[in-house]
Amino acid sequence: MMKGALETDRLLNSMDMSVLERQRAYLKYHNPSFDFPLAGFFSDSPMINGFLGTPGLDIPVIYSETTVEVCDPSLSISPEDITGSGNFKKRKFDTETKDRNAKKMMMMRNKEEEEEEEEEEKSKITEQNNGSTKNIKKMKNKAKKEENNCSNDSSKVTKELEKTDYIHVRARRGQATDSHSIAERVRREKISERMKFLQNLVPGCDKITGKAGMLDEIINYVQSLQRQIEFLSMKLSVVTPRIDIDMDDIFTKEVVSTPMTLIPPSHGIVGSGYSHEMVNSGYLHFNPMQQGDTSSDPLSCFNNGQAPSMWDSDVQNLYGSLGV
Amino acid sequence: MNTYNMVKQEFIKKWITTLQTLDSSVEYPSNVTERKNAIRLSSDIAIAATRSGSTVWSRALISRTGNKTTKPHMARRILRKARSRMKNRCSTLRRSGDFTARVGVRKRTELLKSLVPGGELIDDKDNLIRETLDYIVYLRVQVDVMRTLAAVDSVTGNL
Repeated sequence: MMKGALETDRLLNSMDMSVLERQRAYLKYHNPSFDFPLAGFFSDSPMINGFLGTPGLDIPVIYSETTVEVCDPSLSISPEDITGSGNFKKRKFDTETKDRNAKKMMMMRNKEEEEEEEEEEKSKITEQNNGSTKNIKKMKNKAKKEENNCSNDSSKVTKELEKTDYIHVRARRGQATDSHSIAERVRREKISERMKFLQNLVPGCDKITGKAGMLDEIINYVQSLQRQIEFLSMKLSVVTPRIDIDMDDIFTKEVVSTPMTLIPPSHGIVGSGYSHEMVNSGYLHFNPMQQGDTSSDPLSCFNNGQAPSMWDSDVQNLYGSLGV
Repeated sequence: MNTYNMVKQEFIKKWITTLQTLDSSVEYPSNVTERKNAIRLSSDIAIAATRSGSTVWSRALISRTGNKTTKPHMARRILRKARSRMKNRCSTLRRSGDFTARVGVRKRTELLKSLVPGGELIDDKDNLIRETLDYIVYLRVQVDVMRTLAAVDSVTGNL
């Protein structure tokens, strides 16, 4: 931990980093135990599971029309269960407010909080509709500056909103200090970071540089996924003349966490047998995905059942480009 | 910790509910294309419900399917939380054709906007990419689950 602190301290002092890196170093310095999901993400192989665990995916209510005034009493971080660490960071940051208050650092800090909470929230996916969570997210969004001011003013998260403080920005060497250009820079860095996420998500994107090419890949990928869904639903509609699913059966099966039971293929057909089949085989298929390697993912499904049909080549091309 | 699998389970639950509703309806389509559309529709609603309202694409998807379906009550039943007031302006899919590099980023972002449901309503490129990212993950969930279902069907020889 000491080494980590020293390292990040060195990072902090270097002037040649991007703003985001600086912010991360800053956070790490103050919060050595904070696990950086982003850093972890980039070092891991792009597994879906790992990726989903990283923040930035669970998109907060960006489009909420109300730019919520932060430190609204109803919004103040009372759901400590979710945002406990968020609070902690705010208070800690507060004490360090005197030194190097780059505006972007604050924004990035909030972004980190937001992302950390996104990560937590993602892991409790059934609580997505939790009102308080949404409130937190709304608060995070447009009102970052207010939040900064809030934490500057008081030692704990309070309820007043005051825009008294100016946000001091430390400009990098050789770059404009114009507030617009700085905001623009922040925006560009955000975009480039997101593009990096997308690179890891969309297969075969590593070799491509430049926005146009990557956008192309993304478009192709989305289109191919949508086409796959069309094909699959057609396939399902052909194979199942009648969908007769027994709900109770399914929900009892769902209690079992990781069933490894093998279903003999000669099991029941329509009716409750169908659901039994589906769920258990579903879990069967889920398990290889758990360990996965997204590349072996779909292929294992194929190997389990059937001869690959025409449309499978579509998928195999897609996943072949992952470079197994 | 396995959030992807959790998402899949959520999706399955919701989809089963939708399919059951579909099944119990009187006018169950016998034609293959109709069935396919119904399955696709139900799966879209289910996946949007799993994402449940905090993204633009999920809300747009719900409102879009709400316009198309003959059974709006079915959609409403599943999606208790999603009260979308967004008008759906998403048009049909535009094929990319031959975009060369010189066409540039702008056209591609427009195309991406046409692909992602609700994308046309997003002005900020930053947010558009976020939405796309999220949408891609959920598309994958859909594809995985459907593929699993299809595999099961073949294994059991269900016909």
